This record gives sequence, structure tokens and C-alpha cells, in this order.
Amino acid sequence: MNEVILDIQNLETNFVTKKGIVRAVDGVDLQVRRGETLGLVGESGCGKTVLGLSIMGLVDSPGRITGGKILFKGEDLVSKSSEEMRQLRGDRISMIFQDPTVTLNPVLRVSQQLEEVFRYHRGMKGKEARQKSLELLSLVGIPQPEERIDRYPFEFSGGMQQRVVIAIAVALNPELLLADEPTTALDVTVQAQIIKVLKDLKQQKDSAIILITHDMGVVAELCETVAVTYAGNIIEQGDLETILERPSHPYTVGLIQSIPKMEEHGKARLTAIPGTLADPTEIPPGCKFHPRCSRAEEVCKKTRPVLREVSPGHKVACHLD
Amino acid sequence: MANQLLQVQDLKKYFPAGGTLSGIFGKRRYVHAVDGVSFDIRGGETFGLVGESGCGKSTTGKLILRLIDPSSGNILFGNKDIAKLSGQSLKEMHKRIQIIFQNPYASLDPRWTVQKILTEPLIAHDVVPRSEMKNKVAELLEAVGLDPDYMYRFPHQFSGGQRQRIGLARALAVSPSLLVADEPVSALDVSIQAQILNLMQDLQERLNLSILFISHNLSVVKYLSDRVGVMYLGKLVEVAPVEELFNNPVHPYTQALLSAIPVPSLHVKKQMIQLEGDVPSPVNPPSNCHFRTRCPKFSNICAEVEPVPVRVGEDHVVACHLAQKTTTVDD
Repeated sequence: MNEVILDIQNLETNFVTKKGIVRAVDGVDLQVRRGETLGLVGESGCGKTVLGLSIMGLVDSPGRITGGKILFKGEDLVSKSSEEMRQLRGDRISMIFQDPTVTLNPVLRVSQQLEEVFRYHRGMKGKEARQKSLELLSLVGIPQPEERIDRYPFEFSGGMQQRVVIAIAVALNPELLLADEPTTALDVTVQAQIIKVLKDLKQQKDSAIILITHDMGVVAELCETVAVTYAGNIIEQGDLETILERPSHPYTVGLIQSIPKMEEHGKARLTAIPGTLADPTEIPPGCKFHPRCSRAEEVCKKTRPVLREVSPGHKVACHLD
Repeated sequence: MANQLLQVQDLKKYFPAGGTLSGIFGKRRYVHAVDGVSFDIRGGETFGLVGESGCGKSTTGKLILRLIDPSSGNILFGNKDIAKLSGQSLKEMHKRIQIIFQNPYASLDPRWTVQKILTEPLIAHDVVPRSEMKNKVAELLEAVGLDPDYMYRFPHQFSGGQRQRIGLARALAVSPSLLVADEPVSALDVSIQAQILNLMQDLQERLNLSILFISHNLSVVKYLSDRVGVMYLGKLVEVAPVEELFNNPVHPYTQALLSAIPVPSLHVKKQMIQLEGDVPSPVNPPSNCHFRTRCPKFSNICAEVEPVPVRVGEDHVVACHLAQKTTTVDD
């Protein structure tokens, strides 16, 4: 087993709103190893993006990390100053965002945005930075990089822009790469191209990757391990096969059953999870999922279950297992 | 064909491109949003229309309701051509065809109560007398799985899934025979999406409704549809019954599209067909076969002759030169 690169311990990130405190990340424990691709899945509002931003040190006011540790190779990122985080970001930790059309700066040429990484973090200049940038563009599959590198982002299609964003993120071989819904804004045939780019990168580099997504299909293509989040908590974690084939938490079971299956024939009924996600300022006591859970018992209404290992590598936060 | 409810014939919609000056300086250019589409929808069936962004699937849906006017072509519904209706006769038609939109946050007036939202179509189309209006609203809410007491609330008090139920109730208020559903679940989370899909299926059975289901999500289309049409750059490239289309896709674009869907399963291992590049601009689409610039099976004829739809099997029509034709559609 590879070394643990990222060790998140009891992390809490809160947002103070008029309606009350929103616990977007509510005591998360998570470990990621070198070379591992972890899928962080969940529905809108479950806190998966805020968890990503917390790791990057990009949580903006009114949000704040209020507790816990993010140990990156032993160093606690929570206690680092914003200048120290700036040194890390783009170098040892980097991120791919969801919408490439708003990630790139529209008034800067692609070459400037790529070269900036090498100039800022490595002190490279002129030709050297440009040469490195050209290599990166071919790495992510942009044809004729010499012709395209001096264009502006609007001259690229969405898929090509996302390739540029990926190129910037992997420029300095980060030890940890976060990808927040990297294919969600793209059409399915373009998504297939980007998945291929990410797969190829995985083989060439040994970065740990956290793939934040709501799409189990994308997870199945790219990840070895999966963590399922619900209302700010990780409620189940395990390897891909366990989560897809033998999920244990009732929410994970429901989530997987509610996906229309391509391989099934005829008009079957989908198994939906009743109800909706609770208002984030009025989280139910006990297990946060119990109002929607068909198997809920008395204990679920009173005590919040903790994430514990039920078999090697498989963790579940549920009273019933 | 027996039991046809709606017949779309060679439907076209060109939007002018560029600013007002582009017509003065040089030739006016057009976005070929829908470029000669023909299909039919039968009574009680769900016809799925799939394709990627910009392929013209939503425009097709809006044309059928005449929310926008077609450039040419016919939309036959019963003995009337929707493309030629206006005024009172068009209003009458809207009693038969209704739409539910993609974004449940933008399609409900935030200042209206649910009661007002649902009463509007009842008044406009004179469905029930005023005295029974409230009962009808309660009945509609119950039909879509909402508490009748919710009629006094405003849209912001509901979640996305609940709003989409209200959108459905509004569409069904006038008891239409055809419902155009334009990406009705793509703004929703997967657990909520399943609730709405199940509801649509129940309502369809109960009301003998035909549905034109427009979506980019092939697995959702597969789940709900009886027949499916695949669009690419304004053209319908393949139409087939759902099982046939997914098991035996003939058009190279359909094959690539199906292979590109990531499947959340470890047992389905398939070869992904990678398409090169992106969808070309609909302002200046490739001549003749629109797909030829990205097609892995391209040959010279594709650039020289426009492919006509040919029948390749029971109810299965493909517009591709490489398809093995049994008979042409017009035979």
C-alpha cells in the first residue's frame, strides 16, 4: 500500500447565514494514498465541493473552517497562512473546476495562463516556460499546440478549454489533484474525450486524485475507491466494487438504485429515495438520513452514527450494520 | 401508420445569425437549428428525442407547440397543420399539447401562489366553472403527489423536485393528449429524478398521454421511451424502437453516443468509440451528411450526396449511406 498523502481528521467547515449556521462539512475523516483516485460522490448540497475548497484553502467568507485537521504529508493545511497556501496551490496541490468557460481568464491568452504557473512557481522565463506549456498542451491532446497556444479561451470549444484547465492543473506534477465535476458541463461525446485524458494522466503521473462528482458512471470509469457524502458527512467508504455491488448504507443503496440502468431491459420502475434533502439549517437529530430511510429505527432518531470499519477497507456510518 | 397522433414533416427552423448589420454587408447567415426533421408520435407512446447541446432537440419541441414559428415544414396533429394555425385555432391546439420545461426555478412565476399558477390554464381554456376551480387545483396537486394544502404557498417554498411536480400539474390541467417534456429531470438530483420519472410513467398510463421526451441523458431516455430519435446538428439521423436502438444502433453517431456513456457498473465493459473534435457550428454545417467531419466510417459519397432516411428493420430508420437499406421510407 502506498503512503497516505492526505489525512483529513474531523474537519468542520461552517457557513454563517441569516437563517442559521450551515454545517457544510460536519466532521469528515478521509485518507487518500499516493496514486489513488478517490471518487467523492453525493447530491447537490451534500458538501462535496466545500470539502474540496477546504483542502485547497479556498473557502470564502461567510464560510470558515471551524475545526479539525487537513494533514498533507504531515503538514496541517488548516494552520497555514494564505501566503503559504498560495505557494502550495498550483504546485503540490491543484484543482480542476467544473465549468471551463469561467475558470480561464477571458482576457488573457492561453499561453499567458499556462506560462504563469511555471513563472510563478519555478521562476522560469521566456522560451523555457513556453516550451513547457507547449508540451503540456500536447499531453492533454490539443492538436497543433504551436498554432493554438497564443489564442484566447473564447476561440476554444468547451472540451478544448477543459483540456487547457487540466493542463494548468497538472503542469507541476502535483502530489494531490482535486477535480470538481470535471466533465459535468460537457456533452457526452466530449466527456468521453476528457475521461480518456484523465485516464492517460493517471497512468503517467502518480498524483493522488480526488474526483468530486454526482455521476456514478464517471466514478466507475476513473476511480478505485469511493466515499459517499450526505449532508456534510461521509456515510460510506470503500473500494469501487464494494460500493457499486454491495453497498451497505441505505442511502448508498438508494442512490445506486435510483440511477436508470442502461443494461436493463424493458420499462422497470426506478426505486426512488422518498423526500428531499433536509434544509441545511435544520438538520434532523440522530442520523441525518433517518427521515428518508425506510429502515430507520428508534436509535437512528436519537444517536448520530459514526463511520466505522465493517470489513477491511469498507467503512459505514449506520446503526443497522 | 395506424394511431398517429402527431406527424412532423420536413420541419425546418433557421435563426438569423450575427448582428443586424450582417445582412447589409454580405449574405445573411443562418443558424440551421432544425434542418429537415420528420418523425411521428403515436397515441399513448413516449417518443424520446436525444442529442447533444445545440443539435436542435429543444427547438423541435418548441416548434411543435408553436412557441416559435417554423421556417418551413408541416406539423400535422389530427386533421390540422399546427405550422399554419394562428389566433383562436392555435389556442385551441394548446389545449391538446402542453409543455414542461427544464428549469423548475425559472418556469414558475415567483410572485404567484401555486393556486394562481394552476388556475391560469383552467381559466384560459375554460376547463371547469369558477365554482369548481379550487377542487380542480386540489385534484391536480394530488395527482402529482403533492398535498392540496400547498396551493397557498409560493414557488420558493418548494424544492426543485416539488416545483417540477407543479410544472407537471400545470401542463396536465387542461388534459392534453400530448406532453412535450424538455429535459424535465436534468436539473434534478438523481434520487429526485427517479421520483419524477416514476410519476411521469404513472400519469402516462392513467391519462393515456403521449409524451415527446427531450433529453441529452440516454439512460433516462431509455428508461422512459418506446421509440427514440437521435439528432445531430439539426438532423434526425436515426429513429428506432428503444430496445432496437440500444441493442443494434446503425448510424455511426448513435454508436459513438451510446458507447460514450459512462456506466456505473463493473460488468458492462465496452469499447468506447472516441469521436474526434467537437460538433461543428450550425451556422455553417458540413455539406450533405452533417456528421461526416467526425465520422470514423467516412467515405467520399458522404460529402457528395445527402443521405436519405432508409428503413433498415422493423420501424427502424437511418440516414446514413453506409446503412444496409431494405426499403426507402417513401416506398
